[in-house]
Amino acid sequence: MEYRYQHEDQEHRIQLDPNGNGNYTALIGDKTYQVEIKRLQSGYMMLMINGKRLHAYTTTSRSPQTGIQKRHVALVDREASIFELAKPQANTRRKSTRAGGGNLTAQMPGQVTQVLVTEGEIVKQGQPLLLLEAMKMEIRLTAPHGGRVTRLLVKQGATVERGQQLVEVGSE
Amino acid sequence: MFNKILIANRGEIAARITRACHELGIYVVAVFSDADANALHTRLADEAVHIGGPTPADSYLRGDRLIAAALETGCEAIHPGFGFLSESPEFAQAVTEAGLIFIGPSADTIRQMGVKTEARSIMQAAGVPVVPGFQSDHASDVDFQNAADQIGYPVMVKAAGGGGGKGIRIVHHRAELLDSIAAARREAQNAFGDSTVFLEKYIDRGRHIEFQVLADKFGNTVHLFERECSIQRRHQKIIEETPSPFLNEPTRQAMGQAAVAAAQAVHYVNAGTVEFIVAETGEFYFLEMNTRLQVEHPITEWVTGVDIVNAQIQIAAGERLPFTQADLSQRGHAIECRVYAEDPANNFLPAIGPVLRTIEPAGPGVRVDAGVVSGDEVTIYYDPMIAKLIVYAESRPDAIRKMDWALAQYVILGLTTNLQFLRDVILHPAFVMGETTTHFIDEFLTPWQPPQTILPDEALIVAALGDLLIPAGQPTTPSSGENMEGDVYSPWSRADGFRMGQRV
Repeated sequence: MEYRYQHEDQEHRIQLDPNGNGNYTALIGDKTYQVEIKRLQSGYMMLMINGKRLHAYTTTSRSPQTGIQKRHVALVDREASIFELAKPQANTRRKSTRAGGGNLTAQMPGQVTQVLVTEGEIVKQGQPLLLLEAMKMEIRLTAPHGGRVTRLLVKQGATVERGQQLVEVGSE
Repeated sequence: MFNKILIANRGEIAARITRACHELGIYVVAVFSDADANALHTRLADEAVHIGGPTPADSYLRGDRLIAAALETGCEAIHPGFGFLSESPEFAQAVTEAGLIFIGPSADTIRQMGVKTEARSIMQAAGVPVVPGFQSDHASDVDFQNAADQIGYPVMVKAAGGGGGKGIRIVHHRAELLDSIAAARREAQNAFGDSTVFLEKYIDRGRHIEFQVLADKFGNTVHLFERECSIQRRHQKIIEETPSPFLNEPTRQAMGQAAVAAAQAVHYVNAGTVEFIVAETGEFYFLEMNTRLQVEHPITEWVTGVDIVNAQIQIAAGERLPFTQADLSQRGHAIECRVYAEDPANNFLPAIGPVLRTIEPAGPGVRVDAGVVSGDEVTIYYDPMIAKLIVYAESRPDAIRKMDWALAQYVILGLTTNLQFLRDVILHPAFVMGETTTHFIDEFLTPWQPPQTILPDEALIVAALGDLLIPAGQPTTPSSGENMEGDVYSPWSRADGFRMGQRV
């Protein structure tokens, strides 16, 4: 069986084939691993990989918003390392959004506590457009540049997701 | 002693208080909002009562419903925990008027200390040093500007009814003052329902050190030494320790005496915390008194051996303190780290969503007070703290090593957490040297990036084995989008309205 995963914008492939009795052969690139399952219980695994012991936990998730399925892996020998591997998706790749700068999307999930502009209004660079609050933290969304508010996509009191577009400011 | 107590709170502190009650043989009634149906604190309690919608204003801040729930379930007392209504004099009074015992100080004491400005004058009168500041109910913008000029910048704008770092703004220049006051007022209005703010001189590079006090109904008042709470982000504490690496013995004694004097000045009863800011020169000033249990109380419990929640309940039940100041001492060193669902690489913005799996560290001198465990969810409605990780060892270096080990062992799958960030703080040479000021994060760890990770082949093998061997189940609920594998019989993966203590 071949499995493909996405990790930090890179695709990884692994070929995993059973040899019976809990033994598997894994092929990753040009490397071959002999894998023996010593224990498998409630998402916990103890493996021998090429004779070296490994403890791990794994589980999956599916985002209700984006539909992206992920496999979460924790490798827990002397210290835990955590990895999130996305399963390949047809065409639902989520656009990455960054905080600050010029975007007018929600930087955190929360509630729109105040809308300070109206559609069609001319705004100056740095002018507050709306206030967002989550867990008692207030974030001010400001105009990245001067221009006209072309679209206002939320109302006061709306609950918004991280990355959701809230307002659009056209260039002057 | 009480037979049954209602805990008017949620999360880890409700879980902590529940355990203390059960140890004393007291039955516990939990309360929950729509967002907390099946949350850990409701599962631990003997009964759970639904009190409203997901927003605090519609549930945990509804004093009337909390009192009604306590009366209906036959409780004798209410423990408010911290946050929410814990420092509301109106709530404390309403509880008392309903014939119930409020596990905390009297409504009058809460009122006096809650109005930070009144607290300041009481403390001044009692000979406790206070930070220079300004407050007036009818102050105009110009009054504030003049006062700030007189105090000297930087000044702090603080919510008079505040706490927990909310409604605080630091102002460095006159031009920012009025904007900051407006923002602080909004935050204060939302968080505490009171938009009054006041000014205080901002003690640069100050250390935030607080003293725990306990007082019984017979006038016996003791302090349980200090907690150093200087490591903060967004003015909220994330790491606390005791003893403070900064205090010498004479200063510790002087501050302890000032803390007891402060408590006695308001005839304090039950557990409280006197907060001081300590300047680089070693001078200390009274900041405020928190008339409630404190998030970071476990570190004090470890070095003094006193169970503070247990003591709170005993004091409220009319017991005498079983020790005097002379019986109390500090031994060893304790550190607490607050584990948050947040992204330290992106302004500490909160992360929300389901916690797929938690594996908590365990061992001698390791304590985890969790509010969220495998299968629970962090929502937008409440503080995104997952757990408090507390360690205890003989010395500070040993405690740091133990904390590093415990943080490294803590597994949380599904959410971005600050675990790696916390490790980087406690292992930073400046932290190791004890140079803990409120600027620490800004100075040493901003900006912060997680270490670059190259995906090891082992992780791919585990992922593929998971996909091959563990049959994919259905997500438990559409909102959590989660799939607890291998636990198909767990009641916590049921998607129906199952609730502890509720008839099906």
